[in-house]
This record gives sequence, structure tokens and C-alpha cells, in this order.
Amino acid sequence: MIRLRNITYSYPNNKDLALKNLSLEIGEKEFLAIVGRNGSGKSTLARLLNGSLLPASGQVEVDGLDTAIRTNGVNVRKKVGLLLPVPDNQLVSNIVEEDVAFGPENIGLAPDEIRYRVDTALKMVSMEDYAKHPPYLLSGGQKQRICIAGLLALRPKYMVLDEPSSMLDPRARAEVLKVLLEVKEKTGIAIILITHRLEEVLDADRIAILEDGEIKIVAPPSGILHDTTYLREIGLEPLEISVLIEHINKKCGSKIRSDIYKIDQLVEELCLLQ
Amino acid sequence: MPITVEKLNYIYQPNTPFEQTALRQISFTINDGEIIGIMGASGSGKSTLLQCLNGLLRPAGGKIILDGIDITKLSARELNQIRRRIALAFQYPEQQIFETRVYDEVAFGPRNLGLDTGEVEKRVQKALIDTGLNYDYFKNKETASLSSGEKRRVSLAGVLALKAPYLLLDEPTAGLDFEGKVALINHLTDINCQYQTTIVLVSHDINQLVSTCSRIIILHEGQLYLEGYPGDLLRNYAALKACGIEVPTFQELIYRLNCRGWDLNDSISSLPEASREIGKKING
Repeated sequence: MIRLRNITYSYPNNKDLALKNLSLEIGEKEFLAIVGRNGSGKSTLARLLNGSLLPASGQVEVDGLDTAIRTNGVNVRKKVGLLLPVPDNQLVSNIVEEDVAFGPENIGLAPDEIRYRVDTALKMVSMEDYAKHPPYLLSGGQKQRICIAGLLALRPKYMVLDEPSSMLDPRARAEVLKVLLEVKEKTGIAIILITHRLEEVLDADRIAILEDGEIKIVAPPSGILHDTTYLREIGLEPLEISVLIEHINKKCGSKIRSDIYKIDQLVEELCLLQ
Repeated sequence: MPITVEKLNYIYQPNTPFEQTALRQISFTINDGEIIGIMGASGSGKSTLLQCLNGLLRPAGGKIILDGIDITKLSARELNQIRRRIALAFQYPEQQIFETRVYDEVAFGPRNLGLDTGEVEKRVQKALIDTGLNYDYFKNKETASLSSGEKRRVSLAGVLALKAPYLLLDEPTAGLDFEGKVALINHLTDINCQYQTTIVLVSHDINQLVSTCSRIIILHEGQLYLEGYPGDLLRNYAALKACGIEVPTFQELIYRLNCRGWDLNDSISSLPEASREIGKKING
């Protein structure tokens, strides 16, 4: 479990608090989505989870390890993998498989073990055919999948993904999200997904809404996503399907359930009504 | 004057094993004072086209006529002059930002235009405010300390401060949140109205382009696949799908319902219209 207790954080030369007295618990094998507008503190929170940043006050504990204790650093980062928004900032090698091997090599694993981990990680993200390719010839979505493989090769218990798809096109976004859900399914790694795109949080166990450095709500998707008014208030774009349902209900006297988030479901619901 | 693109070709790494044709025989016109949208899946040639338009890439063939001059034939020095008139904002702000302070970053372009300090300051101030950043708060901030949304805004401010008559924007709203997107698009339409700035907008968000642009061009595998008015394009469900473009949810819904025998009017081009049609059917 990752436990954050009364965290505050502010950046150097900046009086404003990026995070204010924030407490949160993230369970093993959980899929937690953290959403909020630009500048609400999402990326700061992500970097606190694996000790890349340390809280000014309060405590972050990963499976009982306090991230502020220097000697815990390596173990914390082994447990919590962090993926950055722009894959080019995270890729380090000229060949895909060497990039994925970078982490395992650095923690001193045996060559056989490294080989095995690289191969399984690449298979997990469906990129095994690209093992010998240079990353710069890959598409954005493929690059992001290679970065995910790089994290997987370290066998983390938690994966924190900071807007992994904000720079990708719709097809690549879907591709990355699908890989994440598959990885979670197969390995049980907890996923902490930071995003402001609500289409990506439909399968989350819980959604935490971050607003101005504070957590406002933690709830399952069904408890939040239909409330288009509230979502707009906190600077999030409601799902197009929710807006559509809202409009149709105005025309036909609220016959459709507002907690439908997938188009197949809406088609069925409408066909029942007709 | 309009920009005319004629039979434009671009090939990456020609005469090597990695040779790749990115643009094939692209022809279209960008009218004066128009906001034109460019869509297409990743790798369809959108960014290559933009970079050809401001002379960063030199095409393998074809013409780009800007202000009556074919810019594909110009020398590097002459292209410098052209770029003052046709400004390009990159897809990744990280590739564009290099100054340490926000003020200097935005002032870089105007200073290079040889403007005096007072005018530079005025432009920086206006550009930052227009992109939704508080001037006094941000001017002395370090660019490295900005959040991703703020970096995006600063890089756009740098381009806007040039006050170029032509603006080329490569996915300017990627990474921005909902409010940021709306504010930026509103600002773009404002400067388009106020200064008749011609804007070429590359985006993956079809709803955004439909509501902002007078015309939209769709690229597919380096070719110009479709060109038309937003409403007309939206009705072209099959063609959009074929180019790997995410269609709006309302259109997907109409398509699916029609597959189930609903017989809805498929020339609908907006969400309220779609809701009305579906509402009518439900009410019988």
C-alpha cells in the first residue's frame, strides 16, 4: 500500500503550495485515476509517489518504506515505476531492447534474468517484433509502450503514469490504454493513472479529483462521471456521451439513465426505449 | 493573399534504405483570413506539411506560393524573411522553449524582429495574457519550473508575439485541459477576427476543428484525402473511419442505431441536432 499522510509540497522559490495537506491511500492491485485541471498538482503528486520529490511536510510510505529516508530510495523506486508524459524524455538507448534492459542492468541482475525480463516485458506491451528497432523510428504510441515495458522489466508493484497519452493521437491513446489494462489484468500491478481525459478512467476502481493542490473527492467512476455540471466546474470536460444523454433526456423527459458511459450500452438502452 | 500549394511532394531520407515519402502531390489553397483545419492519423504527413509551409523543410517537388512568391525556390536567407510572416508553433513545447525566463522566451521573436524594448514588453504582456497566463506572476518564472500546460501556453505566446499574418499551429491544444483548450481556441478566433490572421490548425479533435474552421483538409498516408466544409465532412462517416479519424460520439451513435434499423437522418452534423432526432424517435 502507498500511504500519503498530510502531505504539503511547494517548489523552490515559490511560496504557493503545490499540494496542501493531502492524504490518500492507494491499495495493491488497484486502478486509481487522478484527475484535475492543468496546474492542479497532478504531476507533483506523481513525483512524490516514487520519491522523485520529497514532501515538505507529511509522509509518503510505500509498503511501509518512508520515501524521505535516503536508504529507502532504491527500494521505493523498484516498487513504484514512473512514466513521464513525453516518451522521448524517457528513452535512453538506440535499440528498443537495450532501452528496456537499462533498468534491470542497473540493479545488477544476471544476464539470463535480464534477457528473460526484457522479452516478457516486450511481449506484454505487444512490441516483441520491434526488439531490434531504433526507438526514434517508432510512433508516439509505440514509444510510450516501450517506456511501459522498461518499467515492467523492473517488476514494480505500482506503476504511476503521468498523462501517458496527452501527446498522442486518438488511436495511439486507445492503444496505450489497452496495454495498461492488459498489464494490470495479467500481472496485478497497481495502476495510478494521471490524466484529464475522462474517457481513460472508465475502468478505474476509484477516481481522485485534485483541485488546487487538494483532493476533493475519491469515488468510483459511476459516482462522478455523470455529473457534467460539477465536472465543468472543476475544469474537466465531461464525456461526450454524458453530454449527449443530457441533451436527449431534455428532449424526451429523462428516460435514459445518466450513468451510461459506453456507447454499446447506450445503443442497447435506446433500443429498449424505442 | 492566399497561400497556394501545388503538387507538393516531400521525401524523408531520399536515396537511402530509409527513404519514406511523406507527402504526395498535395494541392490546395489557404484563403486569406481563413482558419483552416488539417486532420489525419499519426504519420499522415500533417507536421511535414506545416514545416514545408514555413520553409523549414524543402519539398522534393511542387510549389508553395506565398504572397506571390514560390517559397520552395528561396535561399535560406530569403526564407528568414518569409518566416517572419508565417510563424510555426511546434507540436512539443519542449522543442521550442530554450530561454531560462518566461519573459525572455516570449520576447525572443519580437527582439529578433528588431522592435524597441517598449514594444517588445507590450507584445510579451499581451501574448501572455492572451494565452491565459498572468503576466506579473509568470514573467520572471523559470521555464523549467512550468507545468506541461503552462509550457504549452508559453510556447504559443512566443509565436503570437510575432504578430505574423499567417500562423501555423501543430496541435496547439495537446496536453491542455478543457478550459485551456476553450480559452486558446477563443483567442485564436479573436485574433483571426481582429487582425485577419490566417490560421492553419492541425488537430486530432474533430469537434474542435468543426466548430472553429471554415474548411478542413484530411490527409491520409501523405495524400490529400478529403477537403470540405466541416458539416459536409462530418456526414462522411465511412471516409473518416477509413482515415483513422475518431468520429464524434453522436455520429457513432447515429451510425450504430441505424445499423439496428432506426432509420435516423444521417446528414446530422451537430450534437443538439442528433439529440433532437433521437428524442423524436423515442417519443414516437
